[in-house]
Amino acid sequence: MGKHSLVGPAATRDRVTSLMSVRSPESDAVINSVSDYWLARGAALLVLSGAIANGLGALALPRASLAYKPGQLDAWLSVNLANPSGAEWGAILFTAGVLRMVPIAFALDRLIGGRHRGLARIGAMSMAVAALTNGMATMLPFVVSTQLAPVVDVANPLASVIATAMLGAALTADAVAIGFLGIGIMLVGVAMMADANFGRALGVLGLIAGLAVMPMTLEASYAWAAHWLLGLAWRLWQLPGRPAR
Amino acid sequence: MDENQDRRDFWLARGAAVLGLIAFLGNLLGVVALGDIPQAYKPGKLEIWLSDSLAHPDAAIASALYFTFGVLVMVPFGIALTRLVRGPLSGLAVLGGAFIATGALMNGSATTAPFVVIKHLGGVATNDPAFQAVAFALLGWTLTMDAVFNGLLGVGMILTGFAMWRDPGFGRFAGGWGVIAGIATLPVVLQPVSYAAAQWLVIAGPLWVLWLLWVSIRLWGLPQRATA
Repeated sequence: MGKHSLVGPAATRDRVTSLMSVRSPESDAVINSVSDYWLARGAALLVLSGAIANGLGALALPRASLAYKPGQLDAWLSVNLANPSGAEWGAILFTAGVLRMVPIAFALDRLIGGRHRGLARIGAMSMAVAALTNGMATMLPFVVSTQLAPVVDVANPLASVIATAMLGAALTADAVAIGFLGIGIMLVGVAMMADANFGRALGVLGLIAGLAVMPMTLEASYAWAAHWLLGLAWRLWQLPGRPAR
Repeated sequence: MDENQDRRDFWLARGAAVLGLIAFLGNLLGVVALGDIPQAYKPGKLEIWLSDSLAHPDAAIASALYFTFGVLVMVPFGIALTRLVRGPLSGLAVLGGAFIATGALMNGSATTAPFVVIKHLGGVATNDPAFQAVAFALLGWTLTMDAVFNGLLGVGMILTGFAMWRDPGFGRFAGGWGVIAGIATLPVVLQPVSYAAAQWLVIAGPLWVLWLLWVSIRLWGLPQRATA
């Protein structure tokens, strides 16, 4: 983002229209400020809706304590087959929540300024890699329930092995994604600490959330990540009203 | 705007135009190749999809390869749009282009699965329950990820379309078309569970593929705006 404050579209619509035909650093700065307004607001909505989708996904899972846990794939498969709609909704909501992290990462890459913005770029791309890795696998439980189970007898040992392998792939991709997500959030947090528009507090919270997410052994790690996401959504929404840097 | 930036954007726009054209051709040829496999990408028809693919292996392989190349080039194409769409709503194009690229990468990971089934598993006895279970799992994954792609592509086209609407370099026609094609594409997200949604691709598919072609044409002409 350039050195300008984000301004709402209504006050500048006429000016932007007239500047569209003029190419100069000043006209580009004004046009960028309006476009970043929409980027910040759109990203804020994506962060908030993504956090909600992930929360609902966790609620939808039948016996969530068995899902995405190593050594419990057989039990996870049994529970999913016994309650397919819960497993399907869980997969859909997780995928919807996870994949919107990619456009959010693109927005963070553009919106975070300050002297550490290079770290923000690496961090945002790590978050995008995490989302893409996870998003390729979060639908696998859905595939087992909706595509595989109707055409093969999943109780058959052979089909059961394949279904278990698919759940194992989802679990493994989730673990890989969490590693990249943790690193990404930490780097973005460091960059935010040097950008007054995001602030030191959100940056420090990002560092803590990134560290807490990586082991993914405690329920508390979800809480840190959730707090950071809510703080991020709030900051992004507020970004257009903040002063120029 | 400095001269080096203009030069970079010149090659980015021309490159994106070529990628868009490849995406158009890849998806078009992929559909044409499926002529003998009409139940491909339809829910509840995995057994027919598999048997037709085994009966027409060349068509199944060609279609998988065309789709894979056609879809994966939409990743850099979408990323290029995040940079090339300008104007007051270009922030929406950043989100929209990222959605398009994400959907394309999701789909490109799965469109190879029919190729794997025919080319690499084809040597296994096709009535073997192990072969069938693996084949159904892979085809089911392909179908599901295609739905994910259509959902993300739809959102991406809507956002990018709004941004293009306010950018004279792309124009209101490309913008409006993007929004309409995006809205038309969204129902295909129900493809894994709804046969009607899968059939709706007959309407939505040409809309978004032709939008790709039109945007590519506009991208090719975009550098003239920079030098105007």
